[in-house]
Amino acid sequence: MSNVIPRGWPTGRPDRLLRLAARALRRLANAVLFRSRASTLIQLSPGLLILVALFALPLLFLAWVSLWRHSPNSFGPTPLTLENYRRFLFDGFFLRSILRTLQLGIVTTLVTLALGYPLALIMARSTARVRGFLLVLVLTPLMVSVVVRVFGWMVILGDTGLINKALLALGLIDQPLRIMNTMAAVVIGLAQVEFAFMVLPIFSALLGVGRSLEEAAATLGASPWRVFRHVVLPLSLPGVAAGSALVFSLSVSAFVQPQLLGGSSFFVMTTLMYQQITATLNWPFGAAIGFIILGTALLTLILLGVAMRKISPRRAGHAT
Amino acid sequence: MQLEAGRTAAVTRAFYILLIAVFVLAPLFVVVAVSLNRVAFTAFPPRGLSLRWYQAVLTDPQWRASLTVSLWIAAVASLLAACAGTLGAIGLHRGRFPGRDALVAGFLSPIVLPGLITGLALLFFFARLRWTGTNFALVLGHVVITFPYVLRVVLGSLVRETATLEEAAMTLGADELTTFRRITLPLARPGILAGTIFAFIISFDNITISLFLTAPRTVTLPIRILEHVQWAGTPAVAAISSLFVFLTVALALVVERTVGLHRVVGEETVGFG
Repeated sequence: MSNVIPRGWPTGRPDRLLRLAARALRRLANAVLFRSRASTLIQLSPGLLILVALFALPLLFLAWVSLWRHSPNSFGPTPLTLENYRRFLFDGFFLRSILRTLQLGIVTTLVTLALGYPLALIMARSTARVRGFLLVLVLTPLMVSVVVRVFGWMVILGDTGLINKALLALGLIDQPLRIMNTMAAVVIGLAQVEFAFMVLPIFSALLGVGRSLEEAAATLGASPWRVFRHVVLPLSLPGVAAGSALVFSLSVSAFVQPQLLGGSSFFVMTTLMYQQITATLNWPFGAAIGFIILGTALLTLILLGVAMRKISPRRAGHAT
Repeated sequence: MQLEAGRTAAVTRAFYILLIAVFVLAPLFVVVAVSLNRVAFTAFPPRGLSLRWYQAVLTDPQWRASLTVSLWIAAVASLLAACAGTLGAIGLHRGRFPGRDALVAGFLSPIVLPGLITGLALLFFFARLRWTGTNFALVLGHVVITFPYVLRVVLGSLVRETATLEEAAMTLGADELTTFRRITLPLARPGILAGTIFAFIISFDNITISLFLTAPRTVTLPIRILEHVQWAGTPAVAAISSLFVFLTVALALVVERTVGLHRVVGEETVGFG
């Protein structure tokens, strides 16, 4: 043992020295990592560093860039201007793309609502087994990469795709329907995955209702339709609002579906932004579009948050 | 009469669920079917079954490079996210200070913000620092969007019982380090594991950040698939897509087994407050 210890090291009881060192280290770790007031700060610092340096700061920088004037040769500060925002919000072409984006958001929200509400209702009323199966069904697309899903839709919806071949073979149409490169294709691509974000909030709102209220209404002589109209529907509205807000804001900020399923002339805000960044190379203008997208998405979430508070289950419960 | 109505309702319900299942699963099914083609175009139903396209993509240097890059980026980013997220969750779990709830909301905000905007902001930021086109920038970008997931899952696994057990251990004479090692860490372990795997999936799947930060030499797998699909999907692209999906789903199953997927996907994402 002693020949392992370097010359000049206090010999005698190396194990005891080691133990002392270990204890000192332990005290230090205890004090720094757990006991001191700074310990929380130390634990939070990596996260704070990421949040501030790699998220907040870049976003502030993006806001700043959106106020720059475009110069083709350099990427640096210029006198500040609101020209980028003015150009996007008041030019006919860009305005049409904003309207198309909003339309896409609204249509997708309505489609997912129409498809999702019944499923949420079924889920809330079925046994745990069926419910689990349906939950997996709804969540599966979330686990599949968006490019793979879109690829699948391209094969299905194309002019020589599955749907057109089937319809032609059945003799229902004479020439292929144009589904790809239309708004319909984009809505289908979005609805398939955002469906989950509509179903789950409605489902959890309905779970909260419980069967007793419905049974009470039925016992008092209400028809199934009236029970639904006056009990179930009002109580599920917060779920509907939450789901709609999520689906809308996801739809207006989606990129891959409009880019690939919408075709080259289908411009929404995100695809225009991408074009400005990668093709036109007008970065300040792209930054401004980015902020307008962000504003649209956040505004919806806030508005529907307010609306949701107004129709919260408690107040609806008092009303009935 | 009533029985008849009940049966009609049941049949309608079954038909409706079937319709939803087809709608939700059809694209995935089609891609896997196309990948099994013997011919070189995306015939559906496939003409002749073969695994030749799987062999083709797995021996193609370009696809292999993209797969390797994606796996590396996801591994490094999820490990960094795991460290920052776990530490942060512990700090939030123990610390009682003003503005704690606001801080939690701040930490989770990269989940809420559209990824495309985060990607754009990082592109400009890194361009200014002259870091664009490096894998380092890409990893940092992925850490930003993955670490909130780890933080949330770990924070969720450090429930009130954890604090009670920690107090009990300290009362019985354990010091903080021992308490941490013997109580806190074992209780948080499933959360840390699930959060890290989920971070890996998010990074591995990511389009919106990589779209702006990926280097021409090192294109990640989803971006490479996107580029190919944009031109023309082939059975080869379908084959690599299928492999890509199998890998993600397998990892997702691990998460489901450890803490349950719904806890990772989260109430904030699906419940809006």
